[in-house]
Order: sequence, then C-alpha cells, then structure tokens
Amino acid sequence: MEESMKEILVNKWFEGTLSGEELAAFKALPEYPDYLKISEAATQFGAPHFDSDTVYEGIQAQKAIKKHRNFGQWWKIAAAVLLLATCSYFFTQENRLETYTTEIAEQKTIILPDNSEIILNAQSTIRYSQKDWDDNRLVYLDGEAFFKVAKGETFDVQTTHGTVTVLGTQFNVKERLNYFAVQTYEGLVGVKHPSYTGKLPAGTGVQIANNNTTPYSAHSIATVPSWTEKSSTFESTPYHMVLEEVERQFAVRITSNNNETTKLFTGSFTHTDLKQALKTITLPMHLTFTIDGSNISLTNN
Amino acid sequence: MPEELHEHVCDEKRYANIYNKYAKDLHNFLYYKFGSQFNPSDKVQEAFIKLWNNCAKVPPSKAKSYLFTVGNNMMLNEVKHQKVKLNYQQIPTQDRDHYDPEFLLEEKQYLEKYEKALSKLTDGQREVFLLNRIEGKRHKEIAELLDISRKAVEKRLYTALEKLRRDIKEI
Repeated sequence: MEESMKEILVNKWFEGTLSGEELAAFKALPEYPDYLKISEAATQFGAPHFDSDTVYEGIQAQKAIKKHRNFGQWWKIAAAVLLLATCSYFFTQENRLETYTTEIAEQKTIILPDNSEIILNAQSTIRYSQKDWDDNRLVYLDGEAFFKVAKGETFDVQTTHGTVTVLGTQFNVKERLNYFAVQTYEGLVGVKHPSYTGKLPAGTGVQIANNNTTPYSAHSIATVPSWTEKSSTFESTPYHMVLEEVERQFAVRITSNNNETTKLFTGSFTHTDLKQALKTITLPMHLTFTIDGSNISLTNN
Repeated sequence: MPEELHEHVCDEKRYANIYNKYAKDLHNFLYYKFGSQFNPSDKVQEAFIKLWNNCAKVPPSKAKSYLFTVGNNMMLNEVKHQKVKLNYQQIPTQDRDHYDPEFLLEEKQYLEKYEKALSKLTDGQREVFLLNRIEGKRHKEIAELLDISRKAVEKRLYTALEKLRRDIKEI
C-alpha cells in the first residue's frame, strides 16, 4: 500500500472515523499489530500528575512578592524565598507516598505510623502518605492484603474497584481483574463498590466476581486469612483465580486445555509444597497435572 | 468570543480563567516535548508569572500562544540539547492477567526500547503523538494548541508512528 494511503488510514484510525471497509483494509496491513501495540503502550508514558492548585498558589505568592518590591523591602523577599525553599524541601521530602511491593511467592508485614499492621500477600502493592497519616489514614492497595487497624479515626483502603472504610478492626481485601472481595475478622467494615454498598460485621464477607455479588458468612471461626498461615482458601471462587493464585505463590506458569476455568471452586491449597497443592486443587475438578520445570499443564482425567 | 472585548489579562478573574484553561495543557506539552529530567511545573509557574507581569500588553486571545512560547523558550534555555527521557509507569495496574515473569521481562524490554525510540523522534513528532495518544486530544485541538495546520498534525502523527515501529523493531 502507498505511504500516503497508509497515512490517511492511520489518521482516520486515530480519529475513529474509519469506515467498515477501511477498517478491514487497515487491519489487513502487515504493520497493524505493531501499530496497535505501540498505540496502546503509549499510555504508559503519561505525564506525571500536574498539581494545579499548588502551582497556582506559587504564582499568587510570587505576585504578592512583586507588590512588596515597590517598597524596597528586599530582606522580606529574601526571608520569603528562604522560607519557601525550606518549606518546599520538607514538603517534597515528606509528601512522597511510601510504597511497599511484594514479588511472586513473597509476603511482607508493614507497620504503619499508628501501629496498624498490614500483611501483604504475594505480588501486591500498597502506598500511603507518611506525612498526612495522622489526619488521613488512607492506603492504596493493588492486590491482596490483611489489615489489623489500630483504634482511631476512620481508615480507608482504596482499590481500583472500590473503597473500604473502617474503624479499629481486622479485615482482608482482595482485588484482582474483575474481582473484588472483602472479609471482616473483627469489628465492622464499610464497603463502597459500584455493585455493592454496605456494612460487613465480623465473620462476614462479600465477593464480587464479574459484577455478580455474593455476600457470605464464614463457616469457620478463623481469626486471620489462611494465606497469612501458608495456605490459600477459596469459597465458590472462579477456578481460573485459584490457578492464578498458585502461580502467584509458587512462581510457576499453569496452562489448562479445558474449559473448567470458569467453574466455581471451594477448598484450599498449601504454600509449602507445590505437588501437594496441585493435588488438592486438581482432584475435585477431575483433572491431572504434569510438572515440567516451572511449567504446569492440566488435562482432563 | 466575549473575551475579545477586553484587551488585557490584568483582571484576577480573567487571569484565573486562563490558568484553568491552559495550565495543564502547557504542563503536559512541556513534559512530552522535553522529557522528565526538567520540571515542567516550574516552567508553568514561571510562564504564568511572566504573563501577569506583562498582563497589560497581552490580549486574552493571544494569552495561549504567549504562554506556550514563553514556556518553550524557558525550557530551551535549560535543555541545551540533552537527550529526552520519558519515564514509563513502573507498576502496571490493569494487565493483571499476566503474571509470568518471562512475560513481565519481555514487557519491560519492550518499554525500554519504546522509551529509546520516543527519544529519537523530533520534538514536534513526539509532542503531537503523545498529546494524541495519551491525552486523547483530537487532531483539531492539537492544531489549535500548537498553532500548526491539521495537515501538519496528521503528517507528524503518521511519521511518529512509523518511526516508532521501525525503531522498536530495529528495521
């Protein structure tokens, strides 16, 4: 295809004005897969957040300084600049978010400034502001974590799916692709999610998979989530999530050539023995497994 | 435009309006053009202060090009042809369905190549491409923002995409 024609198609594609026929022709280009990947990956290079209010305040401060200049009070300017520099130094030093991340097959315990405790499950991230902690107990979570919250003002956990608000209490938050679950172990927890808003007393939980909401009460009287004690437990959870959890805990890759992965699974597996873990999750689903290095394949019995 | 009635921007309210309208665009434009090693927020602040100091001479209709020109010049003074560096986000938040370490490594290598390829684009190509792909600005908006023709926007977008493809593939 001619360059000029490709240029027209690319630009129509970017503007979203390709006709059905043009779209077919565009998708047939050998370059199309690369174009698509480049276009999608571009979003990873987004500009950092622009703190409009702070910059505006800075401008207002500078304008004020200019007015004073007319009176010839240079020392005031010097003092203001020094103060601003000192403030901004401490501000930028302390305003950064503290970040903790766990890798595959790793767990971490984090003690927050108020002695609240977070146990982070494998491949998860939390962020919080050390500086604002006393006024604003807010933790951003990506993944799964168990929270033991010290008594005090409200404590918020924010995820891409929903927000969990609590007073002093103990609870687990799990956030995956199209999946969000909260389980309360002590106290009372408020959940705000597009498909569920409510309060969960101790011993209850809620699971939202693909926008289907299932509230449940715990059968056992567990006081901590099982994953903090080297096993993972599931209740009516889509099977593919169980497989993903095995991958996360053992650093393996599982391939399955059957369509059991949307079925629901109830049970648990250990984090200490891969073979044992695979046995306990494949048996009830009538599957067999073969291990080849870090690759595991599942087949129907 | 009713704004045309005023011939200066010395009025606080008018000035604040201009700030709200252009500050973020100016910030992102400077970031995409000059990269992350310079602080675009500082330049936005300086450009707006300069606008205030010269507010009697700048009509509202010219405020945007004034700000972009001043911001651009301030950056140029500082840059002196250093290589552009754009940071990609460290933590992927959406692609939660890929956990394979090998996949993550490939993804990282891809982004590193991508970053290099971006730095090889001309300033003009990079700013147009990223304003379109990341900020989702339409051809027309970019043309207005940068005072160039729509045809030029289209040309830059296509050349940027094609150059990125070749550089990433190392053709």
